[in-house]
Amino acid sequence: MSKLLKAFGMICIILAGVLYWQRNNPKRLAFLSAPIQRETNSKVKKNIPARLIIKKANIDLEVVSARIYGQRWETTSLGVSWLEMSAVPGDIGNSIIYGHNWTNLLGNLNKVRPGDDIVIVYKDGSRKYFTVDATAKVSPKNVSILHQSKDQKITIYTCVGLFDEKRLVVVGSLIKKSAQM
Amino acid sequence: MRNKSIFFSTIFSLFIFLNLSVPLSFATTTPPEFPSCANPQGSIIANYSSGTHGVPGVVTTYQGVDTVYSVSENIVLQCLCTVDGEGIQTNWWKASSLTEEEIESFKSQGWNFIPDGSAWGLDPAYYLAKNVNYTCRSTGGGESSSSSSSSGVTTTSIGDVLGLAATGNIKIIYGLIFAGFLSLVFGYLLKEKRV
Repeated sequence: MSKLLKAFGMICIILAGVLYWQRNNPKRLAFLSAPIQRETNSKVKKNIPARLIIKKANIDLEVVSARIYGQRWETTSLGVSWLEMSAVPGDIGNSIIYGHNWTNLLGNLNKVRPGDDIVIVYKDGSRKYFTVDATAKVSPKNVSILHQSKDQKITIYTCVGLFDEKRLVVVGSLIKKSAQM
Repeated sequence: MRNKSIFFSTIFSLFIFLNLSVPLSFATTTPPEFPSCANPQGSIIANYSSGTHGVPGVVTTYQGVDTVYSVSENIVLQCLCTVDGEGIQTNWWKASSLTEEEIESFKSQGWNFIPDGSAWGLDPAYYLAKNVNYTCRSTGGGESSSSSSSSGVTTTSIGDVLGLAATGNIKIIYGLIFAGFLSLVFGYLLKEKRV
């Protein structure tokens, strides 16, 4: 009995160690490669996103600009990351936003359903509204989920599954009307 | 010596557990990567804005929108969105170059063998088809369903069941550490009591 308890204790501690390492692994949240982006005329992106709000899932988070360095996708514990190389939310293309699956960040992203509203608040205080079109769980090898689009698309994702092996992706499109603060 | 054997047997058991959580594949060929219906790629070869649609390997038929994309010469993506908001993505893989053994192996991994694709509007060749759930915005006015409630199509992985292996909730990690130390202490105390 004592051996069994010791073995169980060791397994719990090792598992906790693995989960903790994975939670802070700088390569998590990465896809296999960077998404293909369309060349844009404007090198300076104006009016970048500042806040992501999804009321249905109690998500109201700061948006921090992020870049990809090799296999390392910049992340933040303060909110969610907007991939600078992707489109600004609301512009033509696919705007990519991602964050940790922590309870205080995108842990509730799995509650989002098609038809739910996504609100992006910009640096100048303006807002744009998006509707969720689809959600899916994909492999990190499935980089095509982040590919550019011909419409105004937004893709929000976090990690999911056994040892964060997959990505939970929420895809939305712009609602043409937007409100000014 | 005994403690060392306990330690190494624990590590070995964990190693086996982690490896068993990954699906085993004995085929020498790996299936291609399919895009997701959440952001479909390829050219549209068929689009039905309404009607009754079938899904390979599933007896039930569905009412809704069905769009089929040609991704490459051997890959077709079918995106079905039912009136209830249930999404079924079917990955069609032209399997003409596979051996019988490989086909049997993929069948055991959840792929459906379609001997003649022309019955489904595709080329007259062998196909392997696999269904994956997603959720979509329905046009039928119904509530969208969760990704696990599809009739006949379940993609619940061991990761969905074993919530313990999720990294998102730090309380689970703290709980595991606490349980581990508690277990070790009790194990040590029990051993001391016997002595």
